[in-house]
Amino acid sequence: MFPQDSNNRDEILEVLRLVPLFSQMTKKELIAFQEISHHRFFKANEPVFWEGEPGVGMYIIKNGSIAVCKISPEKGKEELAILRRGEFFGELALIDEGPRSATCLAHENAEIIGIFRPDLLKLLERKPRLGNKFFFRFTTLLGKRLIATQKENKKLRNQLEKSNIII
Amino acid sequence: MVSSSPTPEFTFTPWKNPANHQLAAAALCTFVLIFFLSYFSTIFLISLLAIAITAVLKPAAQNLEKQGINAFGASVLIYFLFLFVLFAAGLLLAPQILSEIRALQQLALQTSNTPGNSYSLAIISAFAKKINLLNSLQLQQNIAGHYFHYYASFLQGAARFSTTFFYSIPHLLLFLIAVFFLLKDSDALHRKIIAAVPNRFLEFASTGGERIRHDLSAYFRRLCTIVVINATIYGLSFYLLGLPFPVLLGIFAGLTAGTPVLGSIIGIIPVALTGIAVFNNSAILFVLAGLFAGINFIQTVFFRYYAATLPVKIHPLSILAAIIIGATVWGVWGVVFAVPAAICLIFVSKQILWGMQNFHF
Repeated sequence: MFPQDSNNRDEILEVLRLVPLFSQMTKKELIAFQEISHHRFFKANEPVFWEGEPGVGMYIIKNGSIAVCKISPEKGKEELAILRRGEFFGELALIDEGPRSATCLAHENAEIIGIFRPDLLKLLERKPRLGNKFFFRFTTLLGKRLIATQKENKKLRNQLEKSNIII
Repeated sequence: MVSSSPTPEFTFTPWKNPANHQLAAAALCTFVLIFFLSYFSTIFLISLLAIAITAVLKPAAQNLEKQGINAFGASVLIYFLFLFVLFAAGLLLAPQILSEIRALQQLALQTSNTPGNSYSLAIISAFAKKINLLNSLQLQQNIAGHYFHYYASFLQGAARFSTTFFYSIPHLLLFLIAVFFLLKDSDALHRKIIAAVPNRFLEFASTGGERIRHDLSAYFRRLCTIVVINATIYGLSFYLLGLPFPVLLGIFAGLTAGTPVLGSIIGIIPVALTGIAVFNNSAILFVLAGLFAGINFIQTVFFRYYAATLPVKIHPLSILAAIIIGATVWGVWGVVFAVPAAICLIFVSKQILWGMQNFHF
């Protein structure tokens, strides 16, 4: 009843393949994720979400770039990172509705793909095997990120010790 | 020297108070109920029924999907199963329902042509012996006349209600088509609606919309279960008691059982009126009161899960207001569906308020 543009679908599948979360999925599995994704266009400086808003889902950049910022009355807008094609952000919202830790704005005109928790949970309820695969991959990536953060933490601690700053 | 502290500036900003947002939402819902829904009542009721039935059938289709059947196949299979159950129920109950509708129409006609009745006058005279205020014969005749006027109006309303419900083939077809497409395409439709939402409202629409869909579906499932269980138990009880129109009265009592707090009281009124008219004995009131109390007790003990959980807390006064508005706008349909409709509207309003408070719109 609601046909989809096949060119657009292939483009979304191509971008999903760039994301480590989906890199080991088969085409059929990727199509299941593509079917729950939301394809959106953002103009430069248009907010994707604001810091403090409830986390709803993750975004993958298809084209353009997104700025991750902290906005405060004292310092104004402080850019923490610029994300480009194939990169993703807000992925923790897929497992936790806690508030967003930063604001994300379109740095330039951008095309992004959103995958939201309610749609994901429904998909995983219908396809539990896909759910296992997805969350195994998700926790592997979180684990790697935790190890990287610990290494970074250790490095900083060593630097502080060398410079005789007691913490 | 006394220094005077600056007088705080008084600012009147009621629109900033979240409590007032809820009040405004309630006022808006009432406005919508009174002025707009009467124009679309048939479409609205068919949609509400179709959504309720889809909410019951959808989990069954999803269970089939988990077994490896594709989404379309699962929806079609469950839909045909539903058609089969509907057809079987129709085959079993249709002759009885049709004869009851005919009898109800005849009774409505007879009652409306008979202003006042010696039996109703006898009841009021019996009351007059205990209450001095009723000691005037003129007053007693007036009350008896009013009593029968209301009873005749109710019977006519009930006859119209039943005729609309069971005779309207186009409505039935529309309902069946709506159920099929909602079952098959509700997910795609939901996504299409979200696709039309501007970027700034996307996250709210996704999460709030899903919450509305999930919680109201669960509510409709419980509602349908309550209605079916109650209608069956009441219908059988009325049949065993020898009341006329057991199926129609059972369906009405079942439908009103979905209304919290006041449902049983509303359900008992037409049954009690019919009981008095048929048995010419007020003892039937005690029998019926006992029956309703017994069934409610059984429901509380065995079906507490279905009876107790509503998606929103609703005050008995709000329930009463919703029923009065519903009855004014839709008649008998309104009595049955006003509270579920009000619960849906309040829940949706609450989600919108949650979104307004948590997202930067």
